[in-house]
Amino acid sequence: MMNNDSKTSSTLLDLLKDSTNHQAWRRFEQRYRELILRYCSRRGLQHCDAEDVRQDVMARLSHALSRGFQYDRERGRFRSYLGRVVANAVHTHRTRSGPELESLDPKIHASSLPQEAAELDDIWQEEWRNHHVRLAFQWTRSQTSERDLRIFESLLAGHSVREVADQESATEAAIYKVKQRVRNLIRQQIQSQLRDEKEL
Amino acid sequence: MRGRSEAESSLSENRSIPDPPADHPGMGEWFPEFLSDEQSDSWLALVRQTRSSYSLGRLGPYELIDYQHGGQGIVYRAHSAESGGFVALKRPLLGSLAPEEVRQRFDREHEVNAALDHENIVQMHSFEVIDGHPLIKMEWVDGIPINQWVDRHLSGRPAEAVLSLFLEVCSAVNHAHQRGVIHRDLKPSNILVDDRGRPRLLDFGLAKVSKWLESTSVESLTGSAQLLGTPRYMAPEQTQGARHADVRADVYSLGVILYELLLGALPFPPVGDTLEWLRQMQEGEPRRPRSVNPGLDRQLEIILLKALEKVPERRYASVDAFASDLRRVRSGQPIEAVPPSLFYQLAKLVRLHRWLFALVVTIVASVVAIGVLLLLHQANLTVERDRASREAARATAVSDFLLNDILGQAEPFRSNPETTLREAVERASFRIDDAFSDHEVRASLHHLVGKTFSFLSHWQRGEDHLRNADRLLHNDSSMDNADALRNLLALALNQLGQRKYEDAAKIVDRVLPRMDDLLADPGAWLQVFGLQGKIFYGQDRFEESERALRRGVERYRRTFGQEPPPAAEIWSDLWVALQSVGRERDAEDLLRSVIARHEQQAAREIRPATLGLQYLQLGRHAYAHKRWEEALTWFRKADEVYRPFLAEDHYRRATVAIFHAGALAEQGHSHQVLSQAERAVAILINAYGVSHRTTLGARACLADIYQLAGKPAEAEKRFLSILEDASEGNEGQSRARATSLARLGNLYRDQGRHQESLERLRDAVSLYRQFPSLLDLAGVLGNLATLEGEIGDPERSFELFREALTILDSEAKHTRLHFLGMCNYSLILMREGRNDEALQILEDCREAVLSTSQVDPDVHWRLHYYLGIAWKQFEEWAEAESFLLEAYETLPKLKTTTALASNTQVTVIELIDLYEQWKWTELAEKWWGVAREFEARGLGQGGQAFSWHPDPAKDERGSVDDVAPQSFSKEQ
Repeated sequence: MMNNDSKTSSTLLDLLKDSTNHQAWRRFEQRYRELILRYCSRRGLQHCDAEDVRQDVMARLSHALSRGFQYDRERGRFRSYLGRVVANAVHTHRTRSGPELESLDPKIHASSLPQEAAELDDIWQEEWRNHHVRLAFQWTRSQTSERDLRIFESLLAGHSVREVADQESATEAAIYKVKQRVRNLIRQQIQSQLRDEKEL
Repeated sequence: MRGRSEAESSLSENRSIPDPPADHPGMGEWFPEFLSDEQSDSWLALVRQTRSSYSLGRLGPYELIDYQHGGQGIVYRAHSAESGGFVALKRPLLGSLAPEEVRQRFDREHEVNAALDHENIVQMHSFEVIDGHPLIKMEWVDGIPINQWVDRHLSGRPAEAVLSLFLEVCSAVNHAHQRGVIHRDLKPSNILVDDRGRPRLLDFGLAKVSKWLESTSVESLTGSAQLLGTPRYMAPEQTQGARHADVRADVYSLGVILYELLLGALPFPPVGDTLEWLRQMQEGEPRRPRSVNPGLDRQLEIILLKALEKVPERRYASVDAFASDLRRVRSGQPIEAVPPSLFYQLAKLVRLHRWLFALVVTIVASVVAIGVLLLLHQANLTVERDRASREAARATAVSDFLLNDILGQAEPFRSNPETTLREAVERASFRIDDAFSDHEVRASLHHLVGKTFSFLSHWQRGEDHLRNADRLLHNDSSMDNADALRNLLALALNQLGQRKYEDAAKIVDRVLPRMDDLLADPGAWLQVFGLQGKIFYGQDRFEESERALRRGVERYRRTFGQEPPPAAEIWSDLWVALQSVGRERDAEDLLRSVIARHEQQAAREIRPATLGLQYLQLGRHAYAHKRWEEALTWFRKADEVYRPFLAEDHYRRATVAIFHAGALAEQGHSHQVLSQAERAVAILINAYGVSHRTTLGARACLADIYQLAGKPAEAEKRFLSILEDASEGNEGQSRARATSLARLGNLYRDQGRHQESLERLRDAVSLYRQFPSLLDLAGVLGNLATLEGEIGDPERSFELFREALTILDSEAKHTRLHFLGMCNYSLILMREGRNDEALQILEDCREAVLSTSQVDPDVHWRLHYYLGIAWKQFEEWAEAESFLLEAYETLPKLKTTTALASNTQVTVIELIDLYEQWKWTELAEKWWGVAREFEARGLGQGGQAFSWHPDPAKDERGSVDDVAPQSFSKEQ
């Protein structure tokens, strides 16, 4: 999945300014695609509409960047900037599509009621947070042995350290160690992602 | 990026817990769960939460769980409410195409694919358009790509297990081929191994649709979509856009996949530059499998290379044929593929490694060909037919050995032949005495291997073999005398390499009385003189060295009626000798003409080792004269010549590398080249030891780079350690001392440590006086004179200046150094009130500058600025004004901003002062305005405000003190 590209390098933004640099755009897209889709899903969009929004966001970014636009790094981090662009795109999409697109599915309907800006921002930030944890965990999985993964999955499923230790015929200390290692790897990777993002 | 590599290294080193990383400020703000105390499980809850919110949304009757993104579209894992299980939904990239049109096309393809019924082929169910989105629905395979599966499950990649898995893949592909379906995009991500260990092939029949989609102008949001899939598994004819790639394209892709499964590496390892990588895939040869894993079955290697042939006709005609050969390997039967013929391999070798080939051919030629031809020729004239036929047999034996044991291993498939050459020679050398009983053959081979080891700087190994050869050749009186002599020459060279000058001289003495036996081999004949020259040189007897070399060239002309060939080493030796006796211009002229002749030779006449050395020498010459661009050009050429056959850590390449780095550093790239320079120096220390002249030169260069990088403390430390390692007894070391002393002198002066600077420069001067090169002396003299003038003894300063200028006038007339010397001298004269003399020198200098076509802007500015000051001393205001204004005009041409800021400052101050003294208030005011404008713009260096300190009480000479004399650039 996306775990093989957690290395958005410091020059990605520069690369993106060249709208013909498909590789850079693909990297960027792979990094943020899922976040945008999940945010749209939270905002009650159907998947296909979310895809439209995603394309729209990419087009907006491409347009802005190729015109030499640079968001104000002092004022907003890239996270907020992207969040605004996505929120605007969702808004535009709704306006353009008209009310008939609003699904009759009550769950979706409820979530697509007008929301306060602050609330929208909360959703974005929560998804952004989840997104980083998810990316970091994906990467961590690729760095972890099968046995350790199995142990961690058991912990994740809610089994106690003691239970897992029995299951694996290992000491509790060993299980703790696995848990700590996974935690540190995720933490380390999130930091790396944050650093990457700061460069954006 | 950093985080990733940190994590990787901590994992690869051991399996312990990685250290908690330094915390990013964002962590506390956004991910406090991970910073809370170790016992808290809040982070675990966060991970769990992101895991459970898996749904990406709904699409028709499907709940999208997650997705993978590939070159040809997206594959969702979806939960089907209908079936209650998972399906894969592939969403091809369509661009502006109408989904309906794609569907029709897909349906046509699908009819064909429906015929594919194989347990290893994933079934495609249907093409659906949901909410206007085209989707290909297929069976969901919970598996991982075959290469990852092998990584995880087949530790050590046992061939048997890999083949068994791979043959299942072949069987599926073959099944499709027999039904007319070609995959055209086989790659590990399209071959998933499920939890039962069964490979499953995806996307059969899609390639055509995808191809069609691509060609139908797919516009994506960022412009035209280049659906560049990964080309690493694609046959060359596909990446070149062949329209009708046939089953043999699938054979190729399977070949790459098998290669990767067996060896854990790709036949064309990715290189940084994608285009270069593509070019290698299209034109280069794959890495020979047994060079990746020597334990691989030789037959498997042959099979892999056949599957990976560039030309489809040379590959297996079908997957079935490919698979059959693999099955034969498993059952121990002979395979049908045959290794490429020797001739074919040689042809490839010549194409790929022209240099290596030239090298080996040179060795072959010197050992075998010339001897044989001459002997056969003699045989016609004399009755030594027996001997001739014996020689011919020997030649055949030697050339077989060369071709099979050395050339055969110096693989055409490798991209780094030097390593192979060394390894090959190493392996082959052990076989000599076992393989041959004939004395002559053994002697020839020991000679050859000894020479090769010596060439590769394995001196002791080389000496062993050469001495073996010597014993064999002298024990047998029937031996060809010339061979014995050639072997002695090689041995003498080897001794030189070990710095055993006496021993080398003794060996040459053995050859001298028998030189007529070498008349048939002019190269060897000439080498005797070359050796003499080298031995003298090694003993610091430079004049004798030059004489011996000249005598060699002269006698060669007389004896053979022509110039020695440009590849002859004697030219390089002569160059070095001329340099050492201070005749730099002669040396440079000589080398340039030799290189020009060398470059015009036919390819097989070019001796890369010698040509590389000649480039390196000229590069160092340009470097010594601060002609950086030119130096870089020569170094690049040298490296181009060396690269094909010398490993990166070879001392010759390290020598090129360090000076290349030095020249780049001089051009402002010091930070980028530091680590490269450090590495080169480490290699040289390893090769030569700390005190060899080459190492010392390189260490000084490294210290310079540190200084250029703004790390004077580092530079000082290195210069001091050179002084520790270099004694005064030896010429090379003594030079390094002189250089380091001079550089330290400059460094201390820049730091305001004047007394220390003075001492170092004085020591440097007295050392430089011992060397023949006057130019170096002039440089240091100039620096010392300037410093003496500033803080020491003015009289002494004048004396030194005069001496420096005399040298410059004869050795480097009207060069930058010469002009700067004159300017600095005049400045010191003015400080002592000797204005007449100063003005005279400046006017002379100006005249010379005016007659010179290209003058450094810095010289131009300085000269006019000083002239302005000088004329002011005489209260010749108009003259002074015109020079100062000229100086002011020159300012924008100055290269560095540092110089620009301070030079602007002093020029403007002089102008203001001039107009004030001239009582021309308006103009003084105007220049005050200019000054204030600069100040407002902050035209100062390093963010410091640019401030002006007009001092009304300043005496006439005050302004002269404001400007520091230009340092004589670093002497050599």
